[in-house]
Amino acid sequence: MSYEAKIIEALRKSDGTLSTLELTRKAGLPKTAVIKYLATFKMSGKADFEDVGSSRLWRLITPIKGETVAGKEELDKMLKQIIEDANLTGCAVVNREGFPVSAFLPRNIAPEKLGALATLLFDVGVKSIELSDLK
Amino acid sequence: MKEGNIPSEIKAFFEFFPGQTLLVKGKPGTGKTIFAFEVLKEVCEERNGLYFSTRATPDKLYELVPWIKNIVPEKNIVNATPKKIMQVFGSEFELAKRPFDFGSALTFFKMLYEDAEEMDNPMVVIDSWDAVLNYINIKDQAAALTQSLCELCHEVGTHLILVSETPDQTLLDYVVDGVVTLSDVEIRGEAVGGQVYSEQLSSRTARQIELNKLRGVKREQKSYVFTLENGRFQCFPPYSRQTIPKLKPIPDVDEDHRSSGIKDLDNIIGGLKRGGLNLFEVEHGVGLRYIPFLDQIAMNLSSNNIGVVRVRSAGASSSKDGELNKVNGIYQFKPKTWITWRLEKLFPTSKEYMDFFEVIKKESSEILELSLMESRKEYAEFLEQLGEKHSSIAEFIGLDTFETLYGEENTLKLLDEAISRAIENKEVLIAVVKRGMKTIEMVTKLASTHFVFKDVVGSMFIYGVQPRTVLFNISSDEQGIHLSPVI
Repeated sequence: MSYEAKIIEALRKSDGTLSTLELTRKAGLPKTAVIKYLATFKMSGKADFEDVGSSRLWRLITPIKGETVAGKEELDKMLKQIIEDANLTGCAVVNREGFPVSAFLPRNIAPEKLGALATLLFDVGVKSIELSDLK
Repeated sequence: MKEGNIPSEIKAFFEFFPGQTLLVKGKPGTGKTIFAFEVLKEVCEERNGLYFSTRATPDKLYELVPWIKNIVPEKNIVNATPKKIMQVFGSEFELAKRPFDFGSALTFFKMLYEDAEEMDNPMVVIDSWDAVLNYINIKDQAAALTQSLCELCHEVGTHLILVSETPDQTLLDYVVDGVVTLSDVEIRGEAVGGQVYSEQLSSRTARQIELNKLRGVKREQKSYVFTLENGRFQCFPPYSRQTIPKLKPIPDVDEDHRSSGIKDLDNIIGGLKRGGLNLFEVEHGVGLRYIPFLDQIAMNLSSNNIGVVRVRSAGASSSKDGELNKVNGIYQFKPKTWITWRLEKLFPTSKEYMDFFEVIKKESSEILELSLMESRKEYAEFLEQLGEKHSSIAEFIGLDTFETLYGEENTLKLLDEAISRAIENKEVLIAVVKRGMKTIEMVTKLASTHFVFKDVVGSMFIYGVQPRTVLFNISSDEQGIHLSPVI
């Protein structure tokens, strides 16, 4: 099993309860390798940490299953790239109804709620433009 | 048993907690890099050191500190270029709007480890942290970035050493777990009671490490003197007197010089001059710690079948004398007629005795004159008797007691006679003077060799005035006395 696979496996099993050091022990890998992978995971949106007391606990960020659309894989890839390039904490694409098509978000943000909120804001924005006749 | 090269407090500091951060400060050339490597050598596991440098290539570094190769392998010497650092932190614009956090530190460590060997328990040196901060130009946020690195180190249990060329106190001092400052200090002779002679105007350079802050560790001392001899950091712990072991006699260096029995001293001065005055000056704060040094000289001369007579300095008689007397050929001379030996015991404190003695000096000087006359006669007879047992006699004279008892003029007379005997017999003469004596300046002019014992932050040192030498640390072990230059 590759280093990456071992770390992902440890993250999956721990379900957000392991600190960096505990993860190193769990994965049975050199400390330097774990730090490098975690940094990469964080940058690409694959994993993130949460501040819990004085520790940071790591968890995987699982892409939300949305509507099956053509080119979803391509879209996921693009979102990851945007997160990495712009150093964002998360990113999502929702359809007109507010359902997430693809989403990489921190654990405390529900994609459905974000989708609904985004659609609402979008609709309000469009309505405002129409009312003020700004085109 | 040889102790470590770094202060024991530094080792305890890194053992106290797995992710300690130490800031090493000091001006250029004070030994910060060698110190950081010496810490790695004593604390870090093999092949687990990482050196992030803004100035040194592996070739250059290994030439400077070849002994670090097995701790810091070539791949773990990471060249810190501005480009590399900006890749981590982004543009200045991005830096300005982004607070530093655990994520920033994680990205920074990813960059450090990118091309290095994988390590289970890495220990990182960043040399220099100032240069890294300058590259990214974030003076206002330096403490925040340092704080984020410290947090990561605490969390993952990785020791970090940050080298800084800013000796002043900054916000970083509050953020890290430990701070030490390295500096060069000028060591000068003492001026006592306004008495100044030329040597007190010149100086020797010593290197000093100050332990400003070490979280979780009790500091036995606030500072230590150290040397960088042979490209190694070696600090000098407080001198502890050891029983002088019985050593193999060292024969004469040449026809004109006896061996001192201390190899390092022989290497410096080429042995003790026969037929001349070898003068040892004791500064305040040294106390009686110089005695084992002279003991070793006396024992070596004695082992080479030379009769050794010791007229001790004030306070220098101790229970150890008994041990020394067991060595064949070393004789302590305490004249029965010497007024001090007989009266001292009658007074409960030394102050009362000295007060009484001052009265005698003023009002009954004839008693002292008589005592002097008798003790000189007694000493001459003593030497004559010894002459029948030994073909040659070396004299060790502590002049301080004599000066207190019989005054300056008589002290110089005593010394002049001893020098004449030494020249006539072509034998070694050793005299001990102590700071504060009135005859020091005159006595130093008569000396062939002149060394000064000095205390610096609890450690014992010696330096040569004639011949002029650097400062040497004095230590002792089962091999006897050792002298290490402060370089």
